[in-house]
Amino acid sequence: MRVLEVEGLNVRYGVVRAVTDVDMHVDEGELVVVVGANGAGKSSLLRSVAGLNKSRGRIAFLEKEISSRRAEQRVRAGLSLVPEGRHIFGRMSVFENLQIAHWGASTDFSEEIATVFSLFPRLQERRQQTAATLSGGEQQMLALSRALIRRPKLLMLDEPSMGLAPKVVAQMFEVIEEINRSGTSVLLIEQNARMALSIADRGYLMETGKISGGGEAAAMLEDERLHEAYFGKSADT
Amino acid sequence: MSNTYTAPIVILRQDHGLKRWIWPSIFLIIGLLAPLVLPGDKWIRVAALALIYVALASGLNILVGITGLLDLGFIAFFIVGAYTTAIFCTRTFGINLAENPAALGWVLPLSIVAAIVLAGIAGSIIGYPTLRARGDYLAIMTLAFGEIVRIVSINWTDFTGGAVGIRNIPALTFTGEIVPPLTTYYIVFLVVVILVVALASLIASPVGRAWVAIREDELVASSMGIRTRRYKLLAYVVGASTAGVIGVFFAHMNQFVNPDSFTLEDNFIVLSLVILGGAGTLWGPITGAVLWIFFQAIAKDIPLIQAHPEFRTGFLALIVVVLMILRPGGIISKRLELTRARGGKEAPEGALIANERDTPVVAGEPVLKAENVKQVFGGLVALEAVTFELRHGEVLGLMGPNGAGKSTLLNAISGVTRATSGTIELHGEQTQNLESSAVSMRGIARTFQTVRLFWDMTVLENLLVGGHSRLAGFAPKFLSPFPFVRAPERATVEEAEEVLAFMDVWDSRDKRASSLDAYQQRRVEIARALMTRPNVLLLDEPAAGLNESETRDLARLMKRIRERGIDVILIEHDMDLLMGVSDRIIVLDHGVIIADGTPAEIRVNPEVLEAYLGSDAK
Amino acid sequence: MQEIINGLAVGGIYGLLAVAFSVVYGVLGMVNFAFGEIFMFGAVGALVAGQTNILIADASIDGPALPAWAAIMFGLIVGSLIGWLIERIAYRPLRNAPILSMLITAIAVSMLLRAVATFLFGAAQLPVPRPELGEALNIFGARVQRIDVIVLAVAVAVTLAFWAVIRFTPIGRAIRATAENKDAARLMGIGVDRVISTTFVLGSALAAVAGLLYSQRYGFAAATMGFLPGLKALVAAVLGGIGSIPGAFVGGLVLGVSEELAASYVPQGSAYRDVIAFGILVIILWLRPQGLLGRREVQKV
Repeated sequence: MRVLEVEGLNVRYGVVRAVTDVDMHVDEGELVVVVGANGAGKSSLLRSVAGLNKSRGRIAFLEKEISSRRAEQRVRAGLSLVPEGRHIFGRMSVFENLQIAHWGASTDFSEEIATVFSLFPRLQERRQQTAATLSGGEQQMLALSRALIRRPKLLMLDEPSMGLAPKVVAQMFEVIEEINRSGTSVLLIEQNARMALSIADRGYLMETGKISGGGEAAAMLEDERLHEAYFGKSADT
Repeated sequence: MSNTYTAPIVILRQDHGLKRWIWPSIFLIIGLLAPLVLPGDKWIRVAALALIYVALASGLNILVGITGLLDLGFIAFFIVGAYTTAIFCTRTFGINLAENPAALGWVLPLSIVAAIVLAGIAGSIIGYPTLRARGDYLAIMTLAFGEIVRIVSINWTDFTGGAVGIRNIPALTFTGEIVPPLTTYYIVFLVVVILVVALASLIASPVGRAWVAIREDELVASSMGIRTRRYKLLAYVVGASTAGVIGVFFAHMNQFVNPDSFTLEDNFIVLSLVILGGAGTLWGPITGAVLWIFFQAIAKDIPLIQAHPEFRTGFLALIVVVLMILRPGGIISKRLELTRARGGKEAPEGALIANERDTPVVAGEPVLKAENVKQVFGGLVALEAVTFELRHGEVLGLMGPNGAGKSTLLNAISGVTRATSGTIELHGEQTQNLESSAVSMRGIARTFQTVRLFWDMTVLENLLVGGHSRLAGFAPKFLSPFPFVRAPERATVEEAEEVLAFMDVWDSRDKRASSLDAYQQRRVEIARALMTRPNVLLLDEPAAGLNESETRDLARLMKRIRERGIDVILIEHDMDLLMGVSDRIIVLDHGVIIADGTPAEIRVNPEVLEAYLGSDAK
Repeated sequence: MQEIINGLAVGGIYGLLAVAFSVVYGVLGMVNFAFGEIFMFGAVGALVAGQTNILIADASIDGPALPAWAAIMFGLIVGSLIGWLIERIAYRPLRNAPILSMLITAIAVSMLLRAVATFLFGAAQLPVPRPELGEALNIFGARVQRIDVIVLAVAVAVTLAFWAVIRFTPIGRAIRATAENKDAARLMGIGVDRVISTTFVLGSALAAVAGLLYSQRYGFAAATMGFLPGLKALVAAVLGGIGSIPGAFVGGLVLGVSEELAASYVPQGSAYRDVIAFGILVIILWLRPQGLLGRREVQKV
């Protein structure tokens, strides 16, 4: 089943085109990664799917058109986004952050939080701590946990490695892989292309608002175009 | 340029020659003929009151409409003016006036000066916290201040006559005879015309442009070398003085003042008139004031409204609420002209005037040095001991993954934020503790990651703001609207045209910034930065949102900028552009510089590869 | 002593209203000037609901003559309803408008509500029936009116209850989340618009309670009664650092007490009572632009 299908997506900010005619999809159980340099439009794509940005085009989630639905309705339908920069509620405790994340969900909160804490024991230790005082890695864990606590059908992650030390990034990716293995479809956006592709099933390459390539993750790793997308064509130097 | 533009191209025709005088003439003729047409003295008095409100609304417009500062206690300045003259004429110089009514010839000017001074002082008291406080706190504070003035005027019986007020203020006459309303009207009319012309001239000068720039984007205004605090304070002083002066004439017109003449609601009414007519336009507040006063006078005769006077304010309030939703611009939406100078008919060559350097620099010599620059936000370390130098004659590329601290570094250099520690030196002078306006004046200009133009201004006006600090010194700036000091303004316009031609956007000169396409916007933003005559230009992702051919064109322009002796620091994600244009590149990751070298070296540097692509080894 | 207790009672009313300002400010970043009028509608609504005969727009109509508790409920509901309506109609279309537009709309809404109330109930003060409470109490040698004790107690209790709601309930958490980061709140599945509506309704209920207490303490209700207390509550909210509930309430108490003390001990103090409150505000913003307990906002670039 197609968990997510995007067709002809366009995003504009005033006169600036951030995303142009993007087609992409995520199948059930897949881990798909969109790689590309900064400013390629990856975040805009993800935010549009989540409903935070206005966009034109078709967005189907679990084979239902959702582009007219509001962000919170998409979340309730099982589409969770861990946004770039994490956006945890810094003035609240870790526990409160997780309570909020369970807003309106029909599952049992104590069960879900137990699952999350088993995945991130660190958060359990720090459950009463104000979220703003967590380290960057812990904040990212919290942001991820907030999405997981709803048991999303599709988990979208926007640059989970941003600003984190390499060791923490590696841990993060292990967890993401783990989540995917347990059955959740994942759409990951990363600048850190090699690491992302190494855990992904499939990938898309995005350049200046357009999908410029893609395919099997392993094949993409070998592709010269990936290097070009990041460092430019080497012809003129 | 191969792409097609979808953005609507709105050309705001600058009214040339005689056309410029159409609107002023219409208003002038209406004002002159109105009392002759109106039936009876009662209506002439209404018209005179309308004039008072015209001045009040125009004064408040300077704050709310032009500078974007809210004042909910504006009437306080008016009260100050009215009581000043009342006390002068009945107490201080009461004897002189009783002996000889002609003494008003010197008492009145004295009152006006005193009113300007006192209202100006009151304005700076109110305005001072704007330098730091948030807009909404300030609104409450102005309201509170207005109340203080009103309560004092009611209760300080010895001085203000308390609730009774002060009577027997002389009419506007030197003979002591009874003055017909028509005469009073024309005197007040003359005063209001002078006030409005003065305000309009101020608006069309560097001062007015600075105000509008602050309203549109305070941070950018500051990075153009505008001392924003000073100009905000000045706006308060100008607005307050206008209200003070007209308060003086109001007192003489009515021949008495008491606290009932100024209710608290008047504050909101005047504000509503500004909004209703069109805040930030010249004729809007005037139209709003005239319409309202006449509406009010007519409504007075309607029995229903006689029984329920609250209908009047209720009606006004309702209009404002509806207007804010449907037409936030107000009735009149003719955009203000922010300069009187006109550009030429043909594109100039595109010469760039470089900043005069105190000491000439040789290519390769360091121009800008950053040493151990550290930036901490809360507990987060954004920059960790960054050290680098920019050498004369080069474009220095700055790259790094998202969140590496590139923009943070640019902000610290340009004075937008203050580095936590470390030094930044420009030509040997430390700049790390300077405000962004001061940094700009020393020769560092910048653009922003998302284009930040003054959207409501024309392209030319945007550039003139960039040239602000060159129309230097307060006195010439203040006088520049007048013909005999127009020369510097004209010179700046000429320079702006050269810069526009240099950036290949001269044809957009008279367009509103918001109507430009993405690449035009970018070039105008760079042109505006060049107008500050920088030695160092900081570009933050100039190619973001541009297509390939535009990006190539931008690279050409950047090389041209370097050729003119301006050194560039470039943050860019388009690697074709960055690698193609930069002479040298430094790479930032996690707030640390991890590489420094030529583009070719950077491209194969393993640490850089890892920072960008991550390591294979997982 | 007497002054302090009087001041605490008045301050409790300011404090309650200040909390309303504060919580809405927290969520929308705007000062809802119309809370002064909701305060008034709460008091007038309860008064009207309790009458057997009422004069509305100069027409005599049979009143519902509700019992006291029902009349109070009616006042609360009227206040909350108006709060809900103005957010829906006037503020929501301006969600992305500049802050100046929101402030101006808020002022206009407040003017409009005042005009409507004046039209409906007239400009004069309407006497409010008060229950017989008995002799003044003697506390530490000061004569304290029983009503003052009740006013303070109710104000404290309502504020505490409200604080608990914000602190411990799901809707309270949703309100805090919305205040902190609207996009993030959306990503948690929170309907931000609905939360904002709820915040307005809750804040309006607080304002209405404050209005009821005020009319009980002073024995009247009037169309213009909300203006000055509204302004002072704003001062209190700024004093306490707008956005914080305990801060706002304490700010109210401090303001009430200093006003009463000034009225008694400063020569001509009662005439300048209001100047005291506003003078405090002006001085505070001169010295500490972020409010007494407020935190400095980080500039975003």
